[in-house]
Amino acid sequence: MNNILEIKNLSKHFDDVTAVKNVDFAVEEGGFFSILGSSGCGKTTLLRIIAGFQQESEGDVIIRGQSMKGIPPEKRPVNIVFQNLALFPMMNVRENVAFGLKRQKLRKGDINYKVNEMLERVGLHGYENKKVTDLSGGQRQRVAIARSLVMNPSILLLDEPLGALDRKLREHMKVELKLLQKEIGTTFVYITHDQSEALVMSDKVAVMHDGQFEQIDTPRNLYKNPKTSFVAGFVGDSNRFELQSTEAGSMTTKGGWTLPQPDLNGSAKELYIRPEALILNPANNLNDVDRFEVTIKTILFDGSSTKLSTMVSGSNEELLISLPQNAQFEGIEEGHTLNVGIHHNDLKCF
Amino acid sequence: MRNNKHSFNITFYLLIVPVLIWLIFMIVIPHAELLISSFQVEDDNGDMVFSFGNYIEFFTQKIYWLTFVKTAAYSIGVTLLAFIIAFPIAFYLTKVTSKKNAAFLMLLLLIPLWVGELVTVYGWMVLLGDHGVINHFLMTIGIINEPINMLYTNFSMVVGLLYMSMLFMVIPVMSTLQSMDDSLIEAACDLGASKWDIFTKIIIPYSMPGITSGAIIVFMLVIGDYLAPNLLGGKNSLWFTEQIYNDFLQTFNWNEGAAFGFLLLMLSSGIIWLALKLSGQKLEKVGA
Ligand SMILES: Nc1ncnc2c1ncn2[C@@H]1O[C@H](COP(=O)(O)OP(=O)(O)OP(=O)(O)O)[C@@H](O)[C@H]1O
Ligand SMILES: [Mg+2]
Repeated sequence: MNNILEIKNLSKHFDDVTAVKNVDFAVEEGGFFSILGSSGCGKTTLLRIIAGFQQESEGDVIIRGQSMKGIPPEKRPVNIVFQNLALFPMMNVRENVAFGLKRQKLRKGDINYKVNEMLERVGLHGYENKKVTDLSGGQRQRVAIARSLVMNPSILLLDEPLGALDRKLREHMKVELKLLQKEIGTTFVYITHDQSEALVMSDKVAVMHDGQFEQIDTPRNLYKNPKTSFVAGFVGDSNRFELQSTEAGSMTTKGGWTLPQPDLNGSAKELYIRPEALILNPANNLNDVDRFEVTIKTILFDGSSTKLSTMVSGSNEELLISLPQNAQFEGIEEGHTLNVGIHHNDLKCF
Repeated sequence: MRNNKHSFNITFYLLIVPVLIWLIFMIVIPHAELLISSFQVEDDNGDMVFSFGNYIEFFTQKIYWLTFVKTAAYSIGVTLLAFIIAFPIAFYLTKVTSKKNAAFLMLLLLIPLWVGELVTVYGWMVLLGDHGVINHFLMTIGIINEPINMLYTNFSMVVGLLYMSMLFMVIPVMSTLQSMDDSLIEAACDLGASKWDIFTKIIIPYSMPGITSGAIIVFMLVIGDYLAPNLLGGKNSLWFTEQIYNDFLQTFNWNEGAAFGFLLLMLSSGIIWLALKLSGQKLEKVGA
């Protein structure tokens, strides 16, 4: 696979802050690449450098093997969907989508054909003459995406495009956007602070923290094999424990819970365990599983993501455990004790 | 519930009564009075009788309707000039310079309003006169030998009109530009628009409501102004307000003055209506 976008050792310094630090990555043609990070970590800055609205301090942006140094935004083969959409309020839906094509001085018939096709594709057929200010949030979203996509960019940059939508619509648009990307095959570089968006839609996700990339990986690997403690804590839910001592074969947390040490990493300071990795009433024939007992403090009911807040017996550690909502665990109540197991591979130490 | 409705009614009347009083006593009655007297002339016995005479006088005397047309044309021209000068200023103040600079420059722009029109007009007389600052300077450095005749011409009149009205274009345009998100400009740029495209397709259309309300205010101020045409304009730069002034205060022909006043009102309303139609703007949007 060839890389359509390469970022080489990119940094951006503002007066007093360094917003992007030595970022290095490549995006494959046709891929869906997400950059996941909390607010203020430099995501927008990075995207604006790729689009050409901001000048990098060091490093280079390479698109289709060509350095973008000195090339202004309007000449770059990328288009951007802004965090606040930036639709032109004085134009209707058709005029918004046609704006870029008109700048290319295409023939009127061609413009109409492309605009109609794109509006059809994003499900806005019949809305051509509506004012953009009269549309719902989700529809405005689609206009913004159509306006950029109709330019047939090599790369589409999206800056938290679903951030302003309510939860239900966001869930819906997440799937729709992924399908749209698959269908048209344009490379997407997608920024978000919402891990679920990043995990559901992307082929590759980069976790960004404080201007740096912590890990670039597939969604499954980020979740299963986080490389740094930040990623382990940021992606998905985790129980975090500070380690008091580690020696060959065993480790003890600050709260006095002793577990086997699987990978003999003597310098580990933290331990992460996902609530859903814990096995309730583990069968006797499971191998490589550490077994212990917990006492249930409270049940945190939240539908499919209901959790048990428990204390690990014989220690001072709290542990959150996912509780599947099925008949097997119907009778569980506060104060009960439970047998719990954890597979050695699910103990993540850093 | 009924009680609630009752108190709402009282509040409603409390609010509407001052507005009605204002409208009736300050607008409706004086204008009705003017309208009636514009259709009256004195007959041989000194009695007031109904007649179209005042209006016929306007259309038969060339000087009257020539002044009328010239006033309209110059007012439109001054409004256009005000836009051309004010737009870059408004753009600079809202989008280019820092907030602190903008506040300071805004204060400078407001100075003509503080000192009043009469003082600024005299200021221009001092600057533009044959022995004024500009001519003196040009002659001292030897560019010209004879003073250039600038004062008491159409030029000096237009300068004066522009100076006193320009701010009323700057402020509404600034307020629409302030509400414009910079990302609109970036989005247009991202879609391949040139600087000119961005200006004509994004910035101007976006600020159209501000431009329109600015243009209406400037146009009304200019077409109804008396001081600048009178003090800065020459003998041939007769302004229609000067005709009305003459009727009321020099020949004491109040009825003809009333008729001319009405014609001016019709003219300015007509031009504004036409301009709104042509630019596709709606009055209720401009006012917002
Ligand atoms: N033009 C600028 N001048 C100075 N500092 C800036 C500028 N733009 C961004 N920064 C700083 O750079 C850092 C990263 O900002 P950026 O907008 O890239 O964050 P972000 O990850 O997009 O955040 P969010 O999720 O809130 O949009 C912030 O600390 C911000 O204050
Ligand atoms: Mg951002």
